[in-house]
Amino acid sequence: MPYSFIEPVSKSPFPPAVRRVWYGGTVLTVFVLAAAAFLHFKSGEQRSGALREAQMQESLRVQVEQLRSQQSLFTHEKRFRQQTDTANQLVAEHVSDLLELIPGDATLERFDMDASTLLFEGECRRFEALRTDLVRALSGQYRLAESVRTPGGGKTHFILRFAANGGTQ
Amino acid sequence: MGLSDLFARFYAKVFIGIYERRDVLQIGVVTLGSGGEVTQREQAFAGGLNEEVVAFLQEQVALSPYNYIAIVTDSGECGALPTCSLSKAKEMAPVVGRSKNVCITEEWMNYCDEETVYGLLEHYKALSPDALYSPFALMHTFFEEQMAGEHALYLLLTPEAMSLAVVKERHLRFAEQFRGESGPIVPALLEKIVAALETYYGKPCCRGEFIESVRIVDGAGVGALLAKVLEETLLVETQLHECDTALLCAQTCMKEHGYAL
Repeated sequence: MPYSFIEPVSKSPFPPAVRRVWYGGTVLTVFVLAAAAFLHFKSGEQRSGALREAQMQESLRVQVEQLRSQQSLFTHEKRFRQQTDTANQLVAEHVSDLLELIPGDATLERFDMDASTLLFEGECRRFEALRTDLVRALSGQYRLAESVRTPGGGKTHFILRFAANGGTQ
Repeated sequence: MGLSDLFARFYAKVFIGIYERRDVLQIGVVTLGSGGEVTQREQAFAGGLNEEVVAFLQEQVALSPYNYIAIVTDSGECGALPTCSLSKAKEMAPVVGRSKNVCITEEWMNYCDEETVYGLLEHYKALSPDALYSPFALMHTFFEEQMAGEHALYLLLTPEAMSLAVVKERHLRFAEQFRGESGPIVPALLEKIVAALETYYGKPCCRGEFIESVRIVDGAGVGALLAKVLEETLLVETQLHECDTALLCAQTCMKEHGYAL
């Protein structure tokens, strides 16, 4: 409990000279520790800064690689699409040429085409002439694989199947 | 706990109290050994602060680096007030405005005129005193336990003055400091006590509440007679304790540093 009108002086078992050395040493030690801590943290900051930059660069590199990969895939798909479009156009032109082989008195009910087969089905008045025209027109690429004729009324129902040369029947 | 406190455990503590009256310097010494043992001694020196006194003090101080020198002054410029509010204290006693003050128990202000304080510090400069007390600090130290109880009048008699306080359940109600030119003469003291009580009973806070006992700590040697006269006059129980003022000063210093007697 405070009773005194004056502040008491702190007591110590050491003489003033020793206390001065003690206090001076304490102050110096605190200063050195503070400086060491400052340098340590500053160095740590630099280290972590360089690390962050390296991580950022690595991340950028990965992103660039991904973009390049996507671009390559896109280019490949685009080229494939272009090739498909070209092939489809060629097929369509080919089919158009094939259908032009059918004479005006014939009616085509079904036409199928794949890589190895052509199928014509319909009705006509002059079957022999139709078959001969088709065999001649497709010779070199296709050969006649099946020929079915079913006479009925004034017209003949026909099925003509051609197989691509070198393909399976 | 600081390093200094840690070292203090291994050393004795020496508390020195000094009370100076006109022709005599009283010194009380309380030594607290590192094992907890307490020794007390008091000595009076004629002629004030002279070489003999300094030699005695040096001898005591050399006992331990943990030595404390405390001075008590019973100057009439010191006193106590039942408040710790500086503004209220200044209303009660304008001298507080130019005084050093210390608040104890959060509602008891001890004050002492700055001129007196600085005069004493200059006078005892060679001793580098650690503490300076008013008589009310000594009174509080001596009667702290009793003050928790009944409504009582407390008196501290020093060779040149009398400190008076009325306390009820730890609350200081009233305090006055008297200092007579001719020292403690019982009729004069009685007259001042009666007048002080009349003032006290006249205060709005305290009408109808009468003191139940008187407790005296006597450092002047007139307590026995005063106690008898007070019992006859006030018709209340009176308790007397004799004590050397300087020794009580040393005990107060010891208590202030957290050591029980």
